[in-house]
Amino acid sequence: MSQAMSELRAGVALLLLLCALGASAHTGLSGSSPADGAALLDSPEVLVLEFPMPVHLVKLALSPVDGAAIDLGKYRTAGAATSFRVPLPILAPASYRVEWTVMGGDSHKMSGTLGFTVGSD
Amino acid sequence: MNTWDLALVAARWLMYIGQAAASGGIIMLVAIAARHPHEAVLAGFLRKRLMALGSVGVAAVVAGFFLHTGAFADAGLKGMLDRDLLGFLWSSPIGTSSALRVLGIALPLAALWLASSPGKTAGGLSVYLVLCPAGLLLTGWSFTQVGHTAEMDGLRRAVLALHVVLALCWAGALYPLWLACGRLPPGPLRIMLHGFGSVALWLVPALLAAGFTLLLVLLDSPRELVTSAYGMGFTVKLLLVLGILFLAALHRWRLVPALADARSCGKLRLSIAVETLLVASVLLITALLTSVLGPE
Repeated sequence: MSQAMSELRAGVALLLLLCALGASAHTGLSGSSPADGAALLDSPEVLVLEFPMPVHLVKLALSPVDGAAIDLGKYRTAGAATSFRVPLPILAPASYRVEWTVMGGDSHKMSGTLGFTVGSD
Repeated sequence: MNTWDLALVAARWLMYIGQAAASGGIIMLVAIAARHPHEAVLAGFLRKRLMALGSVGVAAVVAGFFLHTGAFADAGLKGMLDRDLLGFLWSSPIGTSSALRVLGIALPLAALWLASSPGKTAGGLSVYLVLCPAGLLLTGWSFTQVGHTAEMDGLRRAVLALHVVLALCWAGALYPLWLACGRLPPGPLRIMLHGFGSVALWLVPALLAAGFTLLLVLLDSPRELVTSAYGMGFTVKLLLVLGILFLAALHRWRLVPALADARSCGKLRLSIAVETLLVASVLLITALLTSVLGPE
């Protein structure tokens, strides 16, 4: 009985290890404009997100680091794509954070963030 | 792995169980009812259990769809009801596969219900012959819409569908066989299990061939079996499958030919229970491989 319990514990431990190792199994952003960490003099006109494989853009949020989210309008597209261009409103000088969530071709979720600064901030 | 991932793995596991009940389970029920018409109590009991397991499977598919929505919304429980996202996901492959999966379980369950209605016994078999293959086809098709093989060519997706259908047929047959071990006398039980063994002689090689093909497609090199989380998941699955194959061989060549009395039936019943536990573990690992882990 104790051997069965120890085998069960070993099985559960292996499952937990697999779960822990599997957290970063999918690919992410391959490029963006503005680039992550960019310092811009002027407000960018568009936000471009590029992926190595076709994905569905599910969620996109842009906000000043300590501010409320900025309305980006309708950014979802009907089909999957490798590049997304989202027109931006004029951004006041500040540090901004972009949060994106996409659905890969395998229908799995991928998400990430990038940051950039506008003006002298 | 977060709470959403855990919930999605659980929902997927329950879905597999429901799909197994609605495929292999119902096929075995039809075989039992056809070969042992006097075992109406066993068939009636099994019918109720399969209906319940299949319903759990349908509920798990529906729950899985809302859980996917909640995971994408990432806004707590209320994110599961985000109307924009629900509409978006419904029109995505997740929505398509969910609809196919509900139908894939519901059609065999409808056959179960229609055939068990009073006065429908004569037409029962034809109802099963139409609705069960249709359900299997839809279930197999649903697996080609999402997951790591969704982006591959038609042939590889067809191999996946075949693997899924055969695996579900085998997995679902175990519960009725276990139940029959406790109810049927040794003679008829031996005939039934011999018949199942004959089917397994072509089902198992086809299942394994399709499984190994997928393994070769999904892993870049055999080294991944021990170096990546996804590969390690496959390794665990392969070890469990080896255990199942060992038990299947034990049943076919040792325990079934030795069926003579209640004691030998009990031994076989226990062995089938262990096999069922191993199959449930394989389904759990598969749920992890397809929900959380991914190829490099």
